[in-house]
Amino acid sequence: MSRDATVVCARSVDEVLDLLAGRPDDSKIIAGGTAFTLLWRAGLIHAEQLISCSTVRGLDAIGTRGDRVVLGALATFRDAEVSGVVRARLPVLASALGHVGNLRVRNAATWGGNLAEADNTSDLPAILLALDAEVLVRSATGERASGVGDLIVDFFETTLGPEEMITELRIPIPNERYGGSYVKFVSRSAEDRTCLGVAAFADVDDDGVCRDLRVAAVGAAPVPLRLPEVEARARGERLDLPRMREIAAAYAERADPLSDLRGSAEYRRAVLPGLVVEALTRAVARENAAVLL
Amino acid sequence: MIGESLGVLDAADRVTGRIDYTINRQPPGTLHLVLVRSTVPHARLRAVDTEAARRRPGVALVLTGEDLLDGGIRPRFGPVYRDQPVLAIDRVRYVGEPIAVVAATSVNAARDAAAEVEADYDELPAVFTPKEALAGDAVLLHEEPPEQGASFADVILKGRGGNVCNMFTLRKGEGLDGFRHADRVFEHEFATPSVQHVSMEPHAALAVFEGSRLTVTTCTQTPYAVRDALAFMFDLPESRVRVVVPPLGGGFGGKTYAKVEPIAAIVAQRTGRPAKIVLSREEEFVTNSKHQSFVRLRTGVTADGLIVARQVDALFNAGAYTDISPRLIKNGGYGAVGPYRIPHVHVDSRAVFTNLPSSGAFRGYGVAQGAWAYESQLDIIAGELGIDPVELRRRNLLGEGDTFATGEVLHDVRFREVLDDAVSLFDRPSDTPVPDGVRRGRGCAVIIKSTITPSTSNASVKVNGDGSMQVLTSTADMGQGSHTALAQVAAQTMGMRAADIQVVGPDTDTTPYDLTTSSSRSTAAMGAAVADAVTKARREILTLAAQQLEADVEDLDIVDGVVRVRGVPDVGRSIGETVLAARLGTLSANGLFMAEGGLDPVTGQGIASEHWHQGAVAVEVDVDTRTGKIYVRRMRATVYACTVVNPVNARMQIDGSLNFGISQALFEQIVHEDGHVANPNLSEYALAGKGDLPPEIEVSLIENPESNVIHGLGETALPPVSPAIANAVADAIGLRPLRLPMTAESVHELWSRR
Repeated sequence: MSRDATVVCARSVDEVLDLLAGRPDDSKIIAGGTAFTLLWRAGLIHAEQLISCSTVRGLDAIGTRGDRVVLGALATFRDAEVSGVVRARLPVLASALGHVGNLRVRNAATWGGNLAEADNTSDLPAILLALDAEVLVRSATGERASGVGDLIVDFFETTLGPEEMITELRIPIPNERYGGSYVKFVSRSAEDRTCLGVAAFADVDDDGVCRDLRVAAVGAAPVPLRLPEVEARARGERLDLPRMREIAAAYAERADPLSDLRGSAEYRRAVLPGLVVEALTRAVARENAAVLL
Repeated sequence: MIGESLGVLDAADRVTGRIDYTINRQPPGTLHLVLVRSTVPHARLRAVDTEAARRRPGVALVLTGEDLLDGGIRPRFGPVYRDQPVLAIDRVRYVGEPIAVVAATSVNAARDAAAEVEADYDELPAVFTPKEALAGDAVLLHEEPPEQGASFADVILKGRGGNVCNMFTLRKGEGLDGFRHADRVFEHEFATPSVQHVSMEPHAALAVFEGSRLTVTTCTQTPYAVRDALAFMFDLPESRVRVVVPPLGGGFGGKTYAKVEPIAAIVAQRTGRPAKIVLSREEEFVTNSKHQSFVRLRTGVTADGLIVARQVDALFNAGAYTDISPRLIKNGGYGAVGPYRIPHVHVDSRAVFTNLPSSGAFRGYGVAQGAWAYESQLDIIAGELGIDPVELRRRNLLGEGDTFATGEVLHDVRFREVLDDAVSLFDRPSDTPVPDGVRRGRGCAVIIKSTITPSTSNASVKVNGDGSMQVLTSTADMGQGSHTALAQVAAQTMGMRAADIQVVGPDTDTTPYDLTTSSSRSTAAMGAAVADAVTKARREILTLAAQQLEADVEDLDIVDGVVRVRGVPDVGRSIGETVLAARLGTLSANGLFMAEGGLDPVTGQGIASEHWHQGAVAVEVDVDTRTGKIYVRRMRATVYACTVVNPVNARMQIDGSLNFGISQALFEQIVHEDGHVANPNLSEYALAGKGDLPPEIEVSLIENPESNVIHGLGETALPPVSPAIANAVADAIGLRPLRLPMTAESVHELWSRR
C-alpha cells in the first residue's frame, strides 16, 4: 500500500539534481506522472520524497543540433507528436507517438519519464534504439551520455543511478535514403499498451539491394530487441519477402518475451515474425509512418 | 414533447463538471473512511489488531466485525438473503472483503492508520469457479442457511446444499422427454468471464446521524431498497431514514442495493459525525461485478430445422455472498432459452458461492450470458443442418400469440421484423478491400429480454402558481437521461413546455417510492407513473378552469401551458392563473404504475415480464489471421422501441450498449490469481475505446404508431453483440470461440490448431 510522501516542486534541473543528491535512496522524480501514478498506487515503487518537475521550466524544448533532433526531457509525447521538427525529420517517431494511449495520456506523459520507466512494451525505445539515439544523463556532480540500448538493461530497469536524471534526448536524423516504419500491435483495445512493436529503417538502393537496415522490437524481450548481426547479414542482399522472413525468423528466435494480460510469451513469439515482415515491407515502401494494428 | 430530440437536461453540467456528485459532499467535521480488506481468499479470522491504528493521528474510530456485534444493530445485509457482514465476522470469504474500517479526519490519515491494522488468519481451502465449488469435497462458504429479506418473499431457497446459493428451475411441455421429438441433438458449453461495470463515478456515500434520524447521501440506483436495508439494520422506522441520491456518474447495475451505505451509517452512528466513504478504482473491482457463467446448452431439432426441445444447465459464479444472485439466475435461466418457439424446455440455473467478490446486477442482467450461448449455438446448428443462419432463426422465432418458455402468451411480437431489419446491413456489400492475411465474416444475433416484473413506480407532481411544474421521482439520473425523458412525458401529458418542468431526483423524504432505476424500466414504468400523476393534475386544472371560465370541461384543452376553450381562440387562461385563482398555492397529484406478474418457483411458469424487449445485431468483422485480432467493421442494431420518447437519447442508449458489447466481446475480463484481482485498474483491465468502434454504426428503432407503450432501451442491444461477433468470426475463419472474451490470442490459437 502506498504511503504519504513529501512532494517538492523543483524550479530548475539543478534543483532537481540537488534534491536527488540530498536524499538519493528515497526520492523519485515525477515528470508527467502517467506511469508513476499506476506504479505508486500498485505499491510497486516507494519514496519519501517526490520531486515534481511540473514547475521546472525550459526542459521541454525541441529543436535540431547539427544532424540530430534534440528534445528536452520534459517534452511531452504530444509536444513531440505535433512538433514541426519531429514531423519533418523523424516522421516515423511523430506518427508513432500519435498512437500512444490517448490524448490525455500524451498531453501528460514525457518521453524522459517514459525512457526512465523502461517498460518493455513502450513504443518509444524501439524507434530510438533503431535510430541509435542517445540520452544525456546528469547528476549534481556530472553528466554522461548513454545510448538508449545501454540505458535500458532489464525489465523496468535502467543504468540510471539514484542521483541521476535524464535531461536530453538526441536522435540522429536518418538520411533521405532511409525508409522507415513502426508497426504497433495492440492485442486488446486501441488505447491499450503495446503488445508488440517493431521499428524498421531500411536504406535500399534502386535495385532493391539493402545498404543498411535497422530493426528493433519491443514487447519481444525484457528490453528492446535489436540484432546488429542479423541486420549486418542483410547488407548487400536484396530485401525481398524470403529475406524479410529470414530476418523475422531470426528475431523470433532470439525473442524472450514475457507473459502478461496482453499475450503469453508463446503468443508473442508466434506473432512477432509477421509484424517484422510487415514493418520491413512498409519501411522498404518508404511509408515513413507508424501503423496501429 | 414525446418524439422530440431534446438535449439531456443536465448535459452542460455533466460536461463542465458542475454536477454535485456524492463524492463532492462534505459537511464540516466529516470523517473519512478507509476499509481494511482481507488479503486472503478464505480464512477463519482469528484476530484483528487495531491498537496501532487507533493511536495514529487524526483517527476517530476503528471498528472490526466483532465491534458490530454489541452495538444494537443487525450487522449483516443483502437484498435477498442477509448473509453479508458489513465487516467480516469470524471469517473472510474473498480477497478484498472488509475486515475493519478506519475513520479519520482526512483520507490520508485514515489510509495511514489502515495500513497499521494487522489481521491473523487461519487459512481455509478456497474455491474460485462454480465447478470447483460444486465438487463433492469442496470447502463450504456458508454452513448456515441465511436469513431472508422481506422484499423478496417470493424467492424460494432451493437447490441449497454444497455451495449452491440458489437455483431456478423451469419446466415446459414434456421437459427433457421432449428430446424424443428431435432428429438431432446438439450440446455445447459456453463461458463468459466476470467483468466490471467501470462507472466513472465509484461507489460513494455520506452518512449523517442526528439523534435517531439517519440521512445518507449516496449514488445508488435503488434509493428505497437502501433506505429499507438501513432501517432494518438500525431497527429504525423507515420514516426516520432518509436516502438522498444526487445524479450518478454511471451505474450499469453496479449501484443497485446497499453497498457502502451501511458502513458509513454505522460510523456516523458511533461517532455522531458525518461519515464519508469513496471507493478507489481498485476497490471497485472487489465490490461488485458481472457473474462469470458456464451455460451448457442442449438443443433438439427436427431435420427441417425446427427446435423442439432445449435444456439449459447454467452455472453463475455468485462470489462469496448472495447479493441479487437468486433474481439474476432466474432471468438468466429463462433468458437462456431465447426468442424461439420451443415446446419442451428444461432449465436448471444455479448461482454458486465461490471465494471471489460478490457478483451482482450488470447491464443485461443474466441475459447476456444466456444469449452468448443460444445465439452462438444457433449458428452451429445452422452450419450442421446446412441452413442459412438467418433462415433458421426465421423458422423458429416467436411470433404473435406464441407462448414463451414461461408459458406466457406474447403480444406485439416483432422478432422477425427486428432480425430482418438488422441483417439489412448486408444488403449493401462491404466496400473496403480485404487485406492479405485477413478474413472477413458476417454474423447476427437476436435476443429476448424481460423487464423486472412485478414492479411499482410512484410519482408526484406539483403545479405552481406561475404555471411551472415539479416532477418528484425516485428514478436516479445516471447519465442515461431519464429525467429528460420524464420531463418530456410530463410536458406531453399536460400540454406544456418541457422547459417549464423541473424533475426532482430521489430523496426518500420527498420523492415517492420506486422499485429501482434498472432493468431498462424507468422511461416506461416511471414514465407511466408520471403520466398518471400529470393526468390527474391536468384533470383538476381543467375542472378549476371550467368553473373559472364558466365553460364546459369537455370543451377545454391545454396547449402550451394555457387552458383553451376549443373553437374559441381568444378565451384562455394559463395553468398558473388557474392555480392562483383557485388559491391552491400549489396543485399536487400522485401517480402510480404497477405491473403484476411473477413466476411459479418450481415450474418457472407465469408472467416474467410486463412487456418484452426485442433486439438484434448484425456485424461484419475482419479477423487478422496473423495475430488473431478481431476488428468490427460494420454494425447495425435494431431494437423494437414501440414509442421513442427522445430519438437522440434513444440512439445514444443503443450506442452505449454496442460499445459495452464490443468491449465485453473482445477485451473485458477480471483476471483472478488465487482470488486476487490481477488487473484492478484501467491500465491492465482493457476497455474498448473509440478506436475499437466500427466506423459505421447503424441504429434502427422500430416504432408502433398504433401504440403509446414505451419499451425501455437501456440494455436490449447489448446481449446480441457478443454472439453476433462470434458468428461473424466463425463465418470468417470457420472456427468458433466458445468463451468470452474473444481475445486476439484465443482466436490465434484456434487458427493455429485448424
